[in-house]
Formats: sequence, structure tokens, C-alpha cells
Amino acid sequence: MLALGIRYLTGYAVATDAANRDLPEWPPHPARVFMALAAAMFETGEAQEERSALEWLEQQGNPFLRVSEAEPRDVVKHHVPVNDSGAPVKGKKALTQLQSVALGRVRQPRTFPRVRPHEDTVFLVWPNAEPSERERSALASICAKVIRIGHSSSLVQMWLEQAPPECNLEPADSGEKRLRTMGAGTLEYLESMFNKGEIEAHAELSERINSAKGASKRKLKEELAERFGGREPVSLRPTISQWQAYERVRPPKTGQIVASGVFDPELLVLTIDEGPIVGLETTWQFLTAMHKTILTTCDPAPEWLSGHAADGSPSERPHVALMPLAFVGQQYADGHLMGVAIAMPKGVAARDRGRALRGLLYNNQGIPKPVELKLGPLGTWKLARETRPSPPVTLQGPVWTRPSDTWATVTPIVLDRHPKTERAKNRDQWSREVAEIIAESCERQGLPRPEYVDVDKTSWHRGAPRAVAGKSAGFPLMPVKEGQGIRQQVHAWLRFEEPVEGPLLLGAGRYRGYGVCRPCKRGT
Amino acid sequence: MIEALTLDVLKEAVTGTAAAFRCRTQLQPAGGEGDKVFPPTYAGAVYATEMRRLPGREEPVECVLLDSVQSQANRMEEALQQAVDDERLKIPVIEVDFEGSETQLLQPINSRVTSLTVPHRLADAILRDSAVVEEGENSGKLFRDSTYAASWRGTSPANASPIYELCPTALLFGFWGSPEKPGGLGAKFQRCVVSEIVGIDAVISESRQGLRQDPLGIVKRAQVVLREDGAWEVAREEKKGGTRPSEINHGPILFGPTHGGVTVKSAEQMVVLSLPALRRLQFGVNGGSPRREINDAGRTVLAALGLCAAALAAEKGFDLRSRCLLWPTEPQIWEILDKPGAEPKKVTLTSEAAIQLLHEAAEYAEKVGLAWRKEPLVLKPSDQLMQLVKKSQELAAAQGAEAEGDV
Repeated sequence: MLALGIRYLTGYAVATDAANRDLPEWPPHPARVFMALAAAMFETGEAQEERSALEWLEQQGNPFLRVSEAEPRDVVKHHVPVNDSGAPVKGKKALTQLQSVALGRVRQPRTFPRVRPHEDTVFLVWPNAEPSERERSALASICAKVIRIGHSSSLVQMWLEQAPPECNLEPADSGEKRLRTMGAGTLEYLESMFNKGEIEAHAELSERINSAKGASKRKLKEELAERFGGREPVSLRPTISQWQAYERVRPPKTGQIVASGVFDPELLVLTIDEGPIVGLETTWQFLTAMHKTILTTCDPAPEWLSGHAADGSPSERPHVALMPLAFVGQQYADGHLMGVAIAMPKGVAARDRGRALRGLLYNNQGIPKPVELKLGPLGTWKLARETRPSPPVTLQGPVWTRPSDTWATVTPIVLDRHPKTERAKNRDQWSREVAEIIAESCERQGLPRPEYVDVDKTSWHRGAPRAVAGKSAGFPLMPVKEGQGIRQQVHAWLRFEEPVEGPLLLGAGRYRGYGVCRPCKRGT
Repeated sequence: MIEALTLDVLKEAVTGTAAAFRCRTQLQPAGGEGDKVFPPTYAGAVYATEMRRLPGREEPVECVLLDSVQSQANRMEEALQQAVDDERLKIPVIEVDFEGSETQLLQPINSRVTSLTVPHRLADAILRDSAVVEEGENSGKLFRDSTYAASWRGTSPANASPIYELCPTALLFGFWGSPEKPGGLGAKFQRCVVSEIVGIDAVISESRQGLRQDPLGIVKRAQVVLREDGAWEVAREEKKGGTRPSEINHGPILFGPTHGGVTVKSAEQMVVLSLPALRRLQFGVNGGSPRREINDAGRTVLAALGLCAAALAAEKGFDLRSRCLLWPTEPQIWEILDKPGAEPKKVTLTSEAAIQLLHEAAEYAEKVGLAWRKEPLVLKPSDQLMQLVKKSQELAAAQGAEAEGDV
């Protein structure tokens, strides 16, 4: 086992996202950490044993990580004085004076994206690595020399850790995060990009030319032109294009087993990046387009994804469900759609999930790509995998799945069967029947029977549309096939004897956005 | 009881395994807890805010940047400059003396232009475009062509002695450049000290705008006519060429929107001096290879310089900008961060003790062969630079300076 510890000494990690210069990078990508180690080695004499240790390290595969969540700071533009010219004028205008001296200077905008991690220490762990004593010693030496990871103000302490804590991020076929990593040849690539040898050779030759005279000067100039083609060698910023998906490590079950349904609590969340602001009422069109797009990018789609058996008939096994994620529950909640979660049925291996959804989420080069949905009159929407270190509450998977003994619907439950009692004739009896239908729906999914179910046309979550379909308001009735009757739909509040883990998706329309529940204490 | 930092403890930290000196100081508005303060605003007239998790608080709280890393570095340099001017501190400084130039300026440059006050330190364009008269010579040459520049032209962290001798603060605060070129292939020295001030648990007031009422009751309909010589007269009737009295600062004047400031529960200054950064620097003397004893001595001096800068800046006070005066509620206490997870050793250091420590460290360094300049290196601005400054002042007087940069 090999573990590297990193402590962010100022409490902040200042590093820019490789794909978007206006965002901070968090967690630190293994490739960035490796580049910091490489820089420390190159800048302090390039000892052979240190080089060998890094060449060994780059071949150890992708590390596990122990890293906390982090809060980003607003990315603002700082106007910093330039140094290519000290002129206090620009054209015919006098420039704003520096704060420290009464002379003007051109300024350029610069950003310094940063985050404040909840814990200032990060660990990278290779559980199966077996470094020799020499490699361990060399790596410890390099770690002690690392000054920063990211911007020059992102000061760190780095060391070899003997007893790292449990990791919480692991390499996976698909996952909520994608980090740049290193592999065989990365060190050599970094060295070639830095181009130190050529730069030093050019500088040395130029120095000799400056002090030479006559014929020897001419000869040296010829040598310079021949070797460098009239151009001065430069260092290039390295671009690491090897990416690896990471997902959260599930905590081991402690003695208490929490009941859950047929869906995996790890949701794949996509955020709506572009599109009109619409409410939950648009759920059916939105998720139908989403389902269609998923199937288009995975052909042939397995039964657990498509919801259809090999013969085309509807699958009788649990399959992927789509959940609309909308702003509900808060004081000013208005129910507008913010994203969608893909809930996988339990029992599908991570590798199979990754393979099936790769075409949806990544291009041929393995780079994340937006998901484009065409919704006719509602225009074209673009969604992206949610990877922010601190996304809005609505777009955090655990908000929809954390164990709770009380739950309430955000979208109405479409009843699996018609109640025998008519609501208008006997409301109490009708309510009891509907509660029973909902309880059965829970049991069919492997959930415990709720000890109490309350039903109403209005959701207990502020901002969610009512279960009454109307011309101007209310959640639309679920479309049905020709010849089938319209199904009743209700909002519900459920209480279980013990906490159950989500996602809780109930009723007939549960695969397409109906019956979506969220933890809810009554009165909140 | 927390002990005062001694030179031995400082040396032990620098030469051992310690990672950093860190100081966290709690501050309050000078007007008392809960008083409003005004953070810096950035492009788009926004504050830089973040959420932070605090012990005992279930939800994260909003915090706001009160003084950035770059601004704190400038304040530490200004504090060092002040101590040099007051003759409390002796460190090498490069000065550009604007007095006595043949070019007459509209406004003399009264502010100190030194390696501590120019933005890019030793590599700054102002130094680059200034001239120096070298020892034994009668006429000046551009700094970039001088032997001083030649001495640091090929420097790197593996050979930091020329810069230690000439401008050690550049090694502490970091810089990038060469005598000829900005950035590019020049020397690159990472900063060793980072400081920032953040307001904790901030409540941001709304922007305000309003109307300044004219005490003479002049209304905006009472137009005036402006003349070319700057004088004005009342327009006889509303006609072309007339303008509102607010153009000449009469009548009601709309102002804003202006920021309403913030209230914070407290503010925290965090200063970190990185010891791995100092250990990266090596100091050869007399053309020889760096030796352990000399390296240790040079790094100890720079560590003392960093602590001195922080102490002097704190002594100067935390008057960050208009309506943002903070006051420390506790003395500066430094933690020496060493083994991860272990309780750090704590030490105190007053500004006087810090100056004493720095002088002792520098004396010891000189004994082992690493010396720095005793007197400031004085440069004169080149004729071209003076002409540019003159032109800038004339343009500013005629047109008003172009507003570029932070609010």
C-alpha cells in the first residue's frame, strides 16, 4: 500500500478546472498531484532515484482518494498590473495609478478560482502498490519538497502516510466525478513539454554569441540557426488528457440495515444547463425525450435500461427510472425543473452501467459532452452531468435518497388500480382505499408497509403542482394508450416504522417521473 | 504560557521537518462587533463570497473576502518600507529617485518607488527602465545593462544568492522575470508567504442609491451654458447647448447604486509562511556550490523576514480601505506546523522582537559568507520614462484618468 497525504496549509485549494477556467478544480486530480511531484523533482536536481520512483508511481494505476466536500468562493476578476510595459499611458489616455506609487499601469483581468474544503487534508491511496524501500524513501523526499498544488498561493504540506483513513472516492467505469490521471510515459511527456534541455542550450549558445567576436561569432550564429531554426525554444503547458471516472465508495453497512426499494440509492444527476425555465408540469415531455435519447445512444439497450424484454414486451423486472428534480420545499420554491436523476435498478454491475451510458455522457475521445434534448415547442435543452463540489440542494442525490421514516410526493402517484369507492360519494372510504393501494405499491417494491399514509390533492412540498390536472395549473394526468382509462393520481404523505432509503418512486408512472417522493417531516 | 520565538527555535524549524509557520488572528470592526465594514468590490461590482462550515453550526455560513492575497502582500511590503524609512529596519532595497530630473512634471512623484512598492518587485518595468551609476563610473547605464542585472540574469532557486544580496524581499514574496524581459524565460521564484483576511458569517446589505438634495434648492430645469474656458452662465431660456446644473455640481444629484457593505460576526487573518518554499532556495557564495550551512543561514534570514513583515503589517493596523478598519482581538500567535496530526508548537513574536530576530539572523548569515547590501541601491528614471510620466500627467489633467481596474 502506498498513500500520499496533502494538507492545504491556508485552508484553501486554489486551482483552476482544466475544462473551464472560471471554475475551481476539486478534488485535486491525481494528475495535478503527480505534476506537483514531478516539478519538485525536476526543480531540485533530478536525482535518479527520485526520477525512478516517479516512473514507478505513474504505472501504479489510478489511486483511491479520501477527500471532503468543498465550498467554492465566487470567481471574481482581479485586475492585476502587467509588466510587459511600465508605461503610465495607453494611447492618449493616462492609466489608473497603482495603489502603492503614483504611476499608472495597464491592468489585465485574472481569476483565481478556489475552494475551501471541509477538511484541509486529502489522501491518495494505491492499496495494492508495493513500493520498495528505495522507492518509498525517494517519494518521501519528493513529497517534502512540494510547495504547492495549483496556484502559487495554494501552499501545501505533502508526505507519505503510513495509516491513511478510509477512502471515499474510487476509480469506476462511471461515476459522478471525472479526474485527470497519469499513466506510463506521463513523466517523460512532462519533461518534453518543459523542454529544459533545449531552452538551456539556446541560452548558453546565445551567451557565447554575445561574448564572441568576428568569425567565431558568425560561426556560433550559424550553429544557433541550424539547431533551432531561428526560433527560441519555449516551455509548453502540459495537457493531460487521460481521464478516469470516480464514484463514491459506499460506506460498509454497520449493524443496522436500512430498508430500501428496488432502486440503487446512487443517482446519476444531470443538470439542465440550457433551456427554458419550466415547471414540473413539463415532466412527461421532458422525460420522454430523455428516455428516447438514452436509447438512441445505447443500441441495443439492455432490458434494465429500455424497460422492454427481448421480444419487445414490457419488462416485468425493475428497470431504469427517470426522476425530475425540481425546486420544491423551500420558502420561495416554485417547482421549476433543475435537472433529472437516473435511478438504476439494483443488481446492475457498475461496469454494465458505465458501458450502457457511455454514449450518452461522453464523446468518442472520452471527453464529457452535453446531453441534447429536442422538445419541439419547448426548444432544445442541454443537460450536463452534475459534478460541482457543492451543487444546489435540489441537484444533490442524497437529498432524494437519504434514509427517512417520513416521505411525501413531489409528483403525484398514479394509482396502480382504480379504487372501488367513488371519492365524491364516500371520501373517507376512498381515502382508505387509496392509502391501501399505495401501501401495496411499496410492498411490491420490497419496501416495508408504511404504518400510515395520508392522501390529498396538494403536495406537502411547497412549490410542487397539485395532483388535479387543469387548464392553467396542476400536474397533467399520465398519458395512457388508446383504449385504456385515465388513471387517478394523488399526492401522499407516508410514515414508516423505521427509516427507509430512497429513491422512493411509487405507482404506475414511477419510471417516467410520477410518484417521486422526497423525505418530508410534517409541518416543514 | 506561550514562549517568544527565538533564533534557535526558528533555525530548528527551518532546518528540520516543519512545514510552515501559520498565524490565525481574529479581528473585529473598529466600531465594535456587528458594525458594518466594506469589502473590496470586483469587476461587475461584486463581493467575493463563499460558504464556510463552522464547528457547532449545522449549515454553512456566508463569508466574504475582506483583503486578498495580493493586497496583503502589498501591505506587508509597505510595512517593511515604512520600517526602513523609520530606520528601524535594515534590509536591501532598490529605490528609484525621481527628484532632480531635468524633465519637469506637473506633479512631483512623492511616493516611494522602491522594490517594495512596485508591483513586480525586482523584475518590475520601472526598475528596468531606470538607470544606475555603478561604482567607479561617472555616467549611468540602464539597470538592465548593469552588472547588478548581469548578476541576477541567470538566477534560479538553485542559485538565489545574487537576489538575496540585492533584493531578498523578492525571494520572500515571489517574482518572475529577467532584467530584460517580463516573465518568459526569466527567473521564477515562488512566493513563500501567503496571507488573506476573510469576514465570517457575513450579512450583506443591499445596494443603495439616492438623491443629493441641493441646499440652495436649485432645480434641474434651471439650465446653464458651459463655456470653453470652464466658466458657465445661466441659460436665458431652454435652448440648445444648455445643460443641467448637476454638470457643474449644482442642483439635485443622483448617486449610486452604491454597495451597502456587510456585517460580520468576526474576521480572520490567516498568514502562512511555507518552509518547503524556503528550503527550495540555495545560496552559493564566491562562485562556489551551495553549502548546507549557508543555505540554512539564508533560509533562516528569509523566514525571519517573512515573520517580520507580518508583524510590522499587523503593527500598522488593519485599515484596509474606507470604512473597513479592523482591530485584532488577540495578539499574533504563530503555530509551527510539523508532523501532520500533531499539536503544533506555539510561539509569539512582537514587531520589535521580529526586527531583532531578523538582524541577528542576517548577521549570522554574513558570518558564514552570505551577505546582503547595507545601503539602498539608488536608480534614476530614464529620460524616456520621465517623458512618459510627464505625458501621463498632462493627459490626466486634460482628460481625466481612464478608470481601469478594481473599484
